[in-house]
Amino acid sequence: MDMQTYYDQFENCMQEEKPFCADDCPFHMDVLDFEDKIANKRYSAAYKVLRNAVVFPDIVASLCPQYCTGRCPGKDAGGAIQINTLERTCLAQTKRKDPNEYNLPPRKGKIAVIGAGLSGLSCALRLASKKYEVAVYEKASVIGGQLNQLLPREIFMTDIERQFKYESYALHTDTEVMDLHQLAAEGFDAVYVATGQGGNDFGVFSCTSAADGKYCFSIEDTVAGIHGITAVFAGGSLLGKSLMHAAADGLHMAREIEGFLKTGIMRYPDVPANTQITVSEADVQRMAGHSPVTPTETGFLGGRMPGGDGRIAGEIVAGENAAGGRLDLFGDADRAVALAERDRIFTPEEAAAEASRCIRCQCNSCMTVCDLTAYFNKWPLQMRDEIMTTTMPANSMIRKAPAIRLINMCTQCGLCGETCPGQIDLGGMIKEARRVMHKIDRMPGAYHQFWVRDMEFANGKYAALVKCPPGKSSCSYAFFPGCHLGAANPLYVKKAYAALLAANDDTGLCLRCCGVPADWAGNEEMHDQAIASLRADWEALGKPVMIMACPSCMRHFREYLPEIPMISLYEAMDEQGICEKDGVCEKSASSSDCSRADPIVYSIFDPCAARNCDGMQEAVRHLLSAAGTAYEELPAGDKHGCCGFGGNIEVASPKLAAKIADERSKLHDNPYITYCINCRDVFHDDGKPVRHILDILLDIRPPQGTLPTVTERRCNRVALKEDLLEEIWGESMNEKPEMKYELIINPAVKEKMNALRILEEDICYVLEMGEVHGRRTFFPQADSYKCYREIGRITCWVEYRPHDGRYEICNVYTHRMKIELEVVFNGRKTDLDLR
Amino acid sequence: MAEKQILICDKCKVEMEEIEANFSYLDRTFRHKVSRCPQCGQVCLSEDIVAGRMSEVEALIEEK
Repeated sequence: MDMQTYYDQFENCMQEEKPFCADDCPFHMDVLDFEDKIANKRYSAAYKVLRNAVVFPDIVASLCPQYCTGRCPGKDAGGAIQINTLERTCLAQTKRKDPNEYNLPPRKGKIAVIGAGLSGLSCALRLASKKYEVAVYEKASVIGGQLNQLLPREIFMTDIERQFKYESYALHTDTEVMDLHQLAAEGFDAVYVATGQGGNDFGVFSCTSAADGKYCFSIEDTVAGIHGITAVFAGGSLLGKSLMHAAADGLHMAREIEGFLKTGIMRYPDVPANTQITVSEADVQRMAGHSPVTPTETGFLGGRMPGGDGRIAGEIVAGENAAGGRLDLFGDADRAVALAERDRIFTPEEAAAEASRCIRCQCNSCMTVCDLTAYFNKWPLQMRDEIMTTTMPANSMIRKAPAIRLINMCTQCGLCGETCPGQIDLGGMIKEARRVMHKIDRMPGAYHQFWVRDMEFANGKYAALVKCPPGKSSCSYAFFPGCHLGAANPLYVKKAYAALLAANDDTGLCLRCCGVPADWAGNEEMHDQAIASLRADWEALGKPVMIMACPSCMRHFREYLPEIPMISLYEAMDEQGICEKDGVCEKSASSSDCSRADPIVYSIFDPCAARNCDGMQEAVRHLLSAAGTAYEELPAGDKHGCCGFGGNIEVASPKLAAKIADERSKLHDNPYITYCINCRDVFHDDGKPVRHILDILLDIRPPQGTLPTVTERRCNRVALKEDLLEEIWGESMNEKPEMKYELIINPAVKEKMNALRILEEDICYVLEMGEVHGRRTFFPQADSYKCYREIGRITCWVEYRPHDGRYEICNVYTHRMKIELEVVFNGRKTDLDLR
Repeated sequence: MAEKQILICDKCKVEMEEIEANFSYLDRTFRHKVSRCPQCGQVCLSEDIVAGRMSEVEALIEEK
């Protein structure tokens, strides 16, 4: 798949889906933003969020029945977030509630609003604040519509007057509009019909013309010789909506009217609540841990609004009764109690605590499982954009590459794609991005250089060994141990192969690398070669079933060599009874039991590459049970990310690799058993007690202290090949790698070299520069020399002292930047050949 | 601060001086004064520079 296909997958991303509360809110207020501000006690900022969403905050906060709580996950965890109480607290705490005065030029467009109820006034205010010319027609002598029955006049009029403070509009009370053509004749471009329940609809319900939309139609008229179109929109209680939805309708229609004035398109916005997000059980549990806060203050109506609390509450009840129960805002509960509740507010601390209870319903599947998103605290859409920018062709105008490191910090564990409800394969996108980066030469060479060279060595003449069993020219099975198993300890491969051969003598050996380092490096050309040569090796062996020791190689084969039949080593051992059968396993032959009692209880760490590989997982458990090893499952089973080795991220970010290793180590206090040698090495380095399953099955002593260095690992591979050739095939190895110089390296420098992944062979290569080409610097004080040489894309510096043909290595360090020497320096031609 | 170390270019047998040199990384180039042989232009970088400023700049470029 190319980058664009991966990009398109993000159409399914639910990152920008609204949370339930905002989805159900008639005004679609950004509740999370509001809560954030309340939690930080930024009341003025919170007030602005509220006012921008609802226009008349005091009225709405007094009357809103909290649609937002309907689907709040808190309902099942103690109680929904009390957003309405937070709003009232905000209004009581906000010192300056007046709107801002903006000096904007008037806009072209004349709008008539019929009906001065909450819906009409909301529409009028929104349009007036954008400086359109607005006229409001009200057939009664007072404005407010139903508000007159629901709230004391002083309360809603204060809010209306305050919000209209800096806006001008024409108000015509006692004026009933009978005919829209009359308005059209007056030159109005649009009309909003908000005549309330049972009001005059002017025919919007029956508009059927194909050119007209739902609840909107146009009138064509010619006024004073000028032909014009007047758009008529309807909304609010006229359409049978509740008061809050009617108010929101006014705002939605204001937007549609503005849209019509700009584009001439008419439509009625029908946005059903349709958020797709889901909330994890863990989040709900987290919320259940914090019970709802009970407001202890009073004063929303009594303190800030005119009049005393008791009186106002009483008036509201009276008003509601006068309304004849027309609006069932508070359900069947005792209305007086419900309204008294409306006066209660939080203290700032209580408000912050209540706002903090919110689990912020958002799809965060990837954020919770992916180490990369968590590390950068970046949402996937941002990562997508940064990755796309970084992979822009080199000749494009964009020179920015913000995600070079990020792209090389993905462990390729695949968990993000598995858990994403939208099936977005972020890991796949990152892998493709590495390929593109390699192509456009934007990949820092140092990131993958060591591993790619390591792969070449494993596939080279000193370490690779592809052979049919002795005396045969083809085989039905072949053992594929992977290149790291023998590097960690040659005994793993030797003993496992001996056991496999003993169980079935038709088993060949394919000792080499699977090619995944080239894939992780994005080097397609090299990877294709590796895959082709693997296929050739398999064919040369007679197309056997491959017995795979490494889950990561297995995953790689599945992806790129699906034609090769495979079985994991553990399934093979389980099937063939290796370890249980006398005479096969060395230990079992001598001590007659494979069920040596081990008092330790282990947790099985299934490598990420073995996720969902039921057969392999079962075989591992069966083998362990048969060996008498007590084990437990990890809390989340195999649903965890990589150990930190995958994707070869350690050079790009040692910090992330260490963090991942540490987090995986802490999944359980038990020592781990794993069946990927890389997981074993990573955990061992992290100080976590860990064993490879082969330690137990083949009775191999786990490493004590530090693991073999990068140089020792190579030596192990060579020794393994040599031993196997001699022991199994009776052949000797003619060619062995040789060191050019004899080195004396103290343990501290050795450790540093290992951390920098510098081989002793590399040191010899650098020394050659000083010793053969004479390009070195002398330090009289330390009596030492320093020289450097480029090893691929990195530059390696070595400080050394010669001792009678041997070389003491005092220090080693590397950098990625290239030193650009001049061909002519100081008038002389210089030697630039440092390679 | 330790006293200034004397460095000798082993090829030309002269003392190194602080002279500008060019560096490049991921399509970007820089100039910086480092110890160089005034005759042949051989460069000598101390570990302090490599592990300090140089690795900072490398990390910066990788995220730009």
